[in-house]
Amino acid sequence: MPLHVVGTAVPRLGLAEKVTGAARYTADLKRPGMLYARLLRSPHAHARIVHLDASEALRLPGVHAVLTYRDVPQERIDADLPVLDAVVRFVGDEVAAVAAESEALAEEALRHIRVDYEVLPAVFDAEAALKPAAPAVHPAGNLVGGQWLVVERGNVAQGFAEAARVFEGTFHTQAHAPVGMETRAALAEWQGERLTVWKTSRAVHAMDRPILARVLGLPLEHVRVICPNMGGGFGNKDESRVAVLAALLARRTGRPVRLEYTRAEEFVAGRSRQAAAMHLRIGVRADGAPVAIDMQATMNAGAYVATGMRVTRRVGQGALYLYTCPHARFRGATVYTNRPPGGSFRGLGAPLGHFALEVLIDQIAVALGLDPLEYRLRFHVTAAGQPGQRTTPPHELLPDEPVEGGVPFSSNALRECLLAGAERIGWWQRRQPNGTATGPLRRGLGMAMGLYKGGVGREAEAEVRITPAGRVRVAIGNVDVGQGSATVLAQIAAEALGVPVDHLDMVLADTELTPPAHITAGSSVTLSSGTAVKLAAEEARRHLLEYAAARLRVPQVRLEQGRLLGDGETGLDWRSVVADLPGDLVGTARVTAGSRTHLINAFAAHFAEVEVDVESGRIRVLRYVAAHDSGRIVHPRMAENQVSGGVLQFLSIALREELYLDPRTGVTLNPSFLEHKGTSIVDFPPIEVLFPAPPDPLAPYGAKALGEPPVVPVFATIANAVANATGVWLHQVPFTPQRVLQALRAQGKIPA
Amino acid sequence: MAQRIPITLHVNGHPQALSVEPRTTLLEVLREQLDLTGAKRACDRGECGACTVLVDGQPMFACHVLAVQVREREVTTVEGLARRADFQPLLEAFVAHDAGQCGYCLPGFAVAAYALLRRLPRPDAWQIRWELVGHICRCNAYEKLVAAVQDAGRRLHPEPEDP
Amino acid sequence: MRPFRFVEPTSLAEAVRCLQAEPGKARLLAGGSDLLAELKDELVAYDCLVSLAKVPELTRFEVTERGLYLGAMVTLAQLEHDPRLHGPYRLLAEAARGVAVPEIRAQGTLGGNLCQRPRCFYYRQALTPCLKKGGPDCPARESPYQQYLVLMGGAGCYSAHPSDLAPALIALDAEVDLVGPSGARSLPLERFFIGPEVDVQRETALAPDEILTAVRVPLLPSGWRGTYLKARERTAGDFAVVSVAAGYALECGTVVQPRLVLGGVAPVPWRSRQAEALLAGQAPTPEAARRCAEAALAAAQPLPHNAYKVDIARALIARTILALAG
Repeated sequence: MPLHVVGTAVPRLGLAEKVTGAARYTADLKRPGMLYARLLRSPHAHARIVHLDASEALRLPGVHAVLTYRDVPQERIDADLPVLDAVVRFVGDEVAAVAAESEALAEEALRHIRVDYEVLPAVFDAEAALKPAAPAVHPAGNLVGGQWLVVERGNVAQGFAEAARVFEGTFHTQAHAPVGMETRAALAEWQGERLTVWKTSRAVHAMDRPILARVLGLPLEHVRVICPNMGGGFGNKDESRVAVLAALLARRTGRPVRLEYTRAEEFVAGRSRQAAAMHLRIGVRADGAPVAIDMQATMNAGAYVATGMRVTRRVGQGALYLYTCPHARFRGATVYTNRPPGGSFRGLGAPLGHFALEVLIDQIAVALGLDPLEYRLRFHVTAAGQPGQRTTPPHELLPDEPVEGGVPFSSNALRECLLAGAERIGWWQRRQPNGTATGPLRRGLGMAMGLYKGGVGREAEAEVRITPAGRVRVAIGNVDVGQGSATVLAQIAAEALGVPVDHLDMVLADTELTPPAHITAGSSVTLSSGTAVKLAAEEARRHLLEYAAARLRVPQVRLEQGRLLGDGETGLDWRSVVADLPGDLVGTARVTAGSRTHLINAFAAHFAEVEVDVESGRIRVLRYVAAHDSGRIVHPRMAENQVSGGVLQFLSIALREELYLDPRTGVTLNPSFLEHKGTSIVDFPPIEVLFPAPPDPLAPYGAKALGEPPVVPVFATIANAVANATGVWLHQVPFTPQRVLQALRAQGKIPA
Repeated sequence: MAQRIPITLHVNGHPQALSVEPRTTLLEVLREQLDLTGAKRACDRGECGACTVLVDGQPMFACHVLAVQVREREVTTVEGLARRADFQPLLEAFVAHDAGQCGYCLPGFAVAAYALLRRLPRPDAWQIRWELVGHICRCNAYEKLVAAVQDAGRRLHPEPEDP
Repeated sequence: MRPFRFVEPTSLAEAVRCLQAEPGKARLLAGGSDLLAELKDELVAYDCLVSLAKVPELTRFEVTERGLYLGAMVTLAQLEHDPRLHGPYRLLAEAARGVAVPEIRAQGTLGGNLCQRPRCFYYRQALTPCLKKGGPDCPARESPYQQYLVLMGGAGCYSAHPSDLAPALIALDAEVDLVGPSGARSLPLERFFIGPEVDVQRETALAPDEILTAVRVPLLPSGWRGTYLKARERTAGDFAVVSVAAGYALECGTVVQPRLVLGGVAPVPWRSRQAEALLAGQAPTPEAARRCAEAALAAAQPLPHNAYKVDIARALIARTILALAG
């Protein structure tokens, strides 16, 4: 059947209102009588509060409440995160919360809270934190969960025994901050024992509401959480401390309270990317085929883990699955330190692990005298999946993060991506052998590939309601964090119904108005909620067609692009027949996304041309090509925007962005846009986005994940292009001039 | 007692008599006293452009100027521009090019782009980039933003050879 | 920000009186882009800000047969765009264009740029005491993050001078006019800047009750050309890791009146007379440029983690000199 809405570029929902400033975000909201909150933060990396006196602050006129660890519920927000605590674990940990008539007053009050600390020994390095004598950040020790995560397919020891050659390398990636343009904020208001919270969130249903109810001792139905508009998620902004503190202050003062992070707070206390140290060994047969891949990663989680645990597992995804290989293992440690807390960030650990994997693969290819593209074309994982035996029982959904063999992919267009990207960048015509360029400015071509799951295993619900007013109300509990999921879900609903998108009213991210939903994370919304909304819309459509047929006294009707078509009928507007509906026509659906027979993954191959200034160490990215298999593309322009935005975001991380932590004190030295250097509008190269893949047979309308896959191969693509230009592979992100010059000098490429 | 200073600002064409502390920024006045929240507080120190407004027609970072520094002057926010006919082509171009994702930076971009197109009616891509370089978009929709502003220039100032 | 009072004098004399009335507790406010950041971060606190916006003579901007007269409140945007800044003065426009971003250049002033405070991360972070903030020692010296620290001339404090205009103006032989309670004085801009060996808490010779009123640039030979190159981590909106202001005239293919001033490498803008002497009378060849760079950096004593700045400076100096050769 031809598609009318899916695959077209309808205007992004809400974009015009965002441009004109009419769209309100959490920090734009005000309630009558609202107070402003600010937080007092620890100046020490690790300390115990021995004395705390807020009486002077409370005496200031206009200051209404101060909360400390003594005033808050004992119930924890996360397993390792109290509401407030007598022990602070990083520079910037929350010590007290103040509500006052103005922000300036609340800030003034912070200066009048007296705190005496007993400073405790602190540890900032993950390897050091694993040593027995290291200071314990949490009582149960610094290894989160008490053990290493180990996943294995086959037997790597056996694999290495079969290998003709073994290659290895150590790789590092930095801590940096996601920092969406909007800082974290929450506004809390009580009506009796009922609480309403507006919040920057990715999971009003799955996280904020249950956490608020549990911590505050409220029945779930007394808590309403709304995320009005999100100013950037990037896998971040899910923890609930900001909402819990606003709610407690509001309860204490009897007035609505708004708490908003400053930019510096967002850098320090927002959840950052964990620094990673990775060691990778790859054994290959005489023909170069990988026979054993073994990766070990130590993740510096900082003071609290929250959703950060999921990051570690994903570091291994590439090593376990990107190349056809009988024996593969990933071991990961997630380690508490006194750094600012890490969390989930776009791509989770996948871009980090893919960096190590795809750089070492490049080194192997060159060592074996193979072209890096040729190597990948020969050995990348195919639609058949990995060799070996399926371990998931046949009736169960296949896992999101596979390790087992014997399971095919629903679709896998890695080959098409590799060929399309290579063609576009001119790989065969333009690439010179590594390190043969001369002169101060040296150019090179590099590439890397990646895979990413998205949505499998998530439960999703949707409700589609056709009203007598001639509108369709689509309710989904997910948050559109800015990536455009509201638009994509509207397209799927409109397609399934047979009406134009502008007949729809999308309702998202309000626990009172929408059915439960999972977190907007893991590039999951299109697959999970997309499936749910398609089923719900199809049910609503059946109801509508039955009603219309009865009403028009015809045996049956069809609905296409908003027109009812049937025997003899020629294009009656569907809205003209529903005015007398006694009530809404409702379709609902609840699904668990995934498959019992196939893995559903997205794939990508990236190519870049860079220029390295070997005198000053500066890398310029001249051109970038990103070829993606995300199945069918629901909205071509938004998809292109999503890919180029993701690539640019990670080019900036590849070259510059890093949180600088003073190694003596644990103070974050650059908590600002000025010094944590993101991409600016003059920094970006032309980015060409290709979608050479066919629709996926199992995904809704064939559409697979797209939010995170674009960021996965970026680091390795640049590192490999730099190696082509200079002959030197960089093993540490970011690739700063300092590191480039050091590496060139160490390998004798420039005078000592 | 902190000093308070009576000031008048002409905001979107209306005089506003206000009383402010010297340390109060223009952005605080707009957002908290006048409930004009189109200008966003994203960095609060002149590093990102999300709070851009026009002061006497020139783009300025409202977060990094004291309200007392701009007293008696004409302040135009995105809400004021949104009512103008010559803003509509810009708005349409932003939507047509899908210029923006989360949208938090967009009012700032739009205000600065509006001022740019008044000064340079049909800027080329590099002029747009260098003029808007003070504006950060963490979704990195930069390519689309440049295209939208360029297109808006053509919509506002069509020339005969335009298709 | 902590509260402060705000006064807006309408004459220089009145402004000086405002400063005198509260010694050390009143501070001049020009465009405010650096000062407001310092106040927001609580690196400094003042009881009173003395705005210079209503002092008419500070906005004077004249180009005459004797050279340039630039009032301290002339904005960076004016310097960037004024068509009168051509020929030898183009260097100044280029340097102004290298500062920050357009909105900040519209607000920031010449005087403010010359009086801005260093970018050392430890100075800029209220949580880390340092000598410049009255602390007991310098935490930056052993830090891994030394992009804004000096290659030469540090003494206790190792923060580099961040101004873009200063190297350019020194290359143009600029003088500054100051006015204080005891009257006006002038000095070469080069001597306006002071290192930590003189006073670790200040970067200029300006007394707390003095006002920088103007910068004067003498007439230069019409064939003299200068240029300003700036190495920074991000292409725009960023401070210099190293910057180079260089200029000379060519007579019969050889260099006359050479100037070479580096930014971002020393506590003060670093003019290298040795390098200038080496270049004078030579043809601006790659070899001459390279030798000139070596001479300018002969005194470099990098800190543990910023030796790479020597590489950058070497390349930038040579490229600047060659860029002027046409």
